Amino acid sequence: MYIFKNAFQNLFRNPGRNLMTAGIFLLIITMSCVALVVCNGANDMAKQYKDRLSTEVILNVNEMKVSEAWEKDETFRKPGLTDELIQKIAASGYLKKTVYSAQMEAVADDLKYTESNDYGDIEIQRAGEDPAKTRIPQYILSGFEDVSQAEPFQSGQAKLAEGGTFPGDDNECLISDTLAELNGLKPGDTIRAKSIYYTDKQGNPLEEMELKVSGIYHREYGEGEKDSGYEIFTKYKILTDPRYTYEPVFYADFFLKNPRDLEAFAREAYASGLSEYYSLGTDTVAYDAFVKPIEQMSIIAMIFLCVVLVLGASILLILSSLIVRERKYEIGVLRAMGMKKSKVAAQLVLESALIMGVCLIMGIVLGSLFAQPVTDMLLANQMSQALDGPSLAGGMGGTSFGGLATDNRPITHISAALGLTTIMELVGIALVLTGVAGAVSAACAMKYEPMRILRERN
Amino acid sequence: MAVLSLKNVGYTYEKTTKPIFQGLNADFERGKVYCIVGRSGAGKTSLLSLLAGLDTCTEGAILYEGEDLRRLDRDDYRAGKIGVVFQSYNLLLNKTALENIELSMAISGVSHKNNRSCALALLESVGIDEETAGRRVLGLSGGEQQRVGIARALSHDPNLLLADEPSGNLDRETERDVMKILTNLAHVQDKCVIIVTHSQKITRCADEIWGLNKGGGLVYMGKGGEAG
Repeated sequence: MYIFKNAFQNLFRNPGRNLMTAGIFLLIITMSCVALVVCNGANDMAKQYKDRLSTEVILNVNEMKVSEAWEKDETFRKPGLTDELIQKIAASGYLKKTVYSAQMEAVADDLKYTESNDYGDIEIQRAGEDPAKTRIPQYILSGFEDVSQAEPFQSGQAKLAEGGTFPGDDNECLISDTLAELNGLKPGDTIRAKSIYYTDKQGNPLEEMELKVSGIYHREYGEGEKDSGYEIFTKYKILTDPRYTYEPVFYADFFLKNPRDLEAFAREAYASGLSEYYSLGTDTVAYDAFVKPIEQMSIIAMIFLCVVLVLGASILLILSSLIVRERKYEIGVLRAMGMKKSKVAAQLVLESALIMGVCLIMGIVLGSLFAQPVTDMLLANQMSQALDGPSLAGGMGGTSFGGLATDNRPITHISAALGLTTIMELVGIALVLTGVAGAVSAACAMKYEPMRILRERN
Repeated sequence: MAVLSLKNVGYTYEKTTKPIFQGLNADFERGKVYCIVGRSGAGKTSLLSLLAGLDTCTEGAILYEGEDLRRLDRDDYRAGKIGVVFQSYNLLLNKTALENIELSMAISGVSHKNNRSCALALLESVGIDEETAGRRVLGLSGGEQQRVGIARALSHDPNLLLADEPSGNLDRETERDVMKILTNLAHVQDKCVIIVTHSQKITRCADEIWGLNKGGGLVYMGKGGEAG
């Protein structure tokens, strides 16, 4: 107990010396915190992308083949995807899971939409369709079995605002904060939307959907992207309901058990009846373009961490031995009073630990403040290098069967949040540094005999 | 029974071959003040270091209450059995006088109901008032530091008190006060007090005076006032 009291008193009785040690501890912990947060954030993001890009097989329309066919024959219409076909493909033994989604171009006469709504301003030409049967789309309804699994929410690009929930029932939806603000909508309100088609294929009028707003999302847009707030997220099932849709536009993301099974899976899918106007593929270019820079970023952070730790530990070693030299007299007196070597050593370690404890808390706070700006800067730097690089010169593509072009977005944001793992790693670093500083102090203190110290002093 | 006995004690510094002293024999008992005198370089302070357990003799043995110091834990011996008053005080400079005493009590494992009150009473007994006790040692005069040194040496109530030139840096009046404290300890509190000194005045207060000759032994020189 008296060791603790003595150590605590010494902290305040020698402010200059302790502030110097604290400064070094603080610098090491802050820098380590930043490096670990960047490293862990980048690793998590890379793992997430890696898992997704290497195993996710995207079923998409092969636009090139469709337009070639349409140029040859204006009456050409691509064969539709049926629910049965999707189910048949999804039953493949090569897959671990299938995520279904559907989209519908829609209008909502009761709602205002922004003038900068790019989507609404563009009249979409559909191969072989009579423009008189459709209206200009204002919104796009994206349907998922579980909206929280949608890409913008998974990548962190979109976030659910407080007070809302992801759609649970089929007639619930999530709207953007832009749309909510423009129309004064809040969770619990109801909106009406309908397909851009007036009738179904048989000529029967399509019904208007009533969607209850379950929540509002905020989405961060990349450079050059505008927030038009046009995307409304809802459940997959309502968008495939024949009462509301002219022809469901299905999407299915298949997840392979093993990335190497892509070719075999594609063969099986085409054999099951998938038209050649659809493609199946993984996004290897996106993998190279996005995952590798993040991995690079993680390596940079790890090297930085190692340099900080090696340099910091070396400085601490020197400083600790100098401090013990300076405190030789005090150690001699304590030993002459009968304090055991082990207790002198324990007191020195305890003093280091007390300083480190304070610096650990301060370092974590400071580190978490700096982590996000540093992450953003590194990410921007890495991504601009990657996007300027030769690998994307020919445009986005992928390993595909049928000429797939996927829409994986570049990583624009990595959350530099301080997790429990990072805190535990920092505590580990702090313990090691305290151990190093304490051990050096203790070792130096041990070699001094009290009589020699006092004789030299006198 | 002697508190401390020297049996053919000799000491040679490291890396030298010639002993600084050898064949020392003496018994030190409770209730007496002993003075060890000798010329500079005779090894008085080295002898005191051996008696204090800060160093070990290279020949012979030092017995504390019949037990060889080499068999005792010398840290425990210093912390609990003896008190040492150093010539240059050797106090912890970044602490107050009171904290020095409290720390010494803590190291010795002395536990009173109220250590602080005991420490203050001890300081009071050597002439340090409460206000002075709360000041850092660096801000105290030489005499005050020496009194704190004595109080620290007594903080764990040892049987044996060793003092190295306790009045070396003090004025006459303070020297007289310090000697009064030390003789009281021996004669009133029945402790054994061994003082290493040059001072003639101090030897006058001693019950026994011993002379240390360079390279030689310890010679009984008589009672205080008798020695020339």
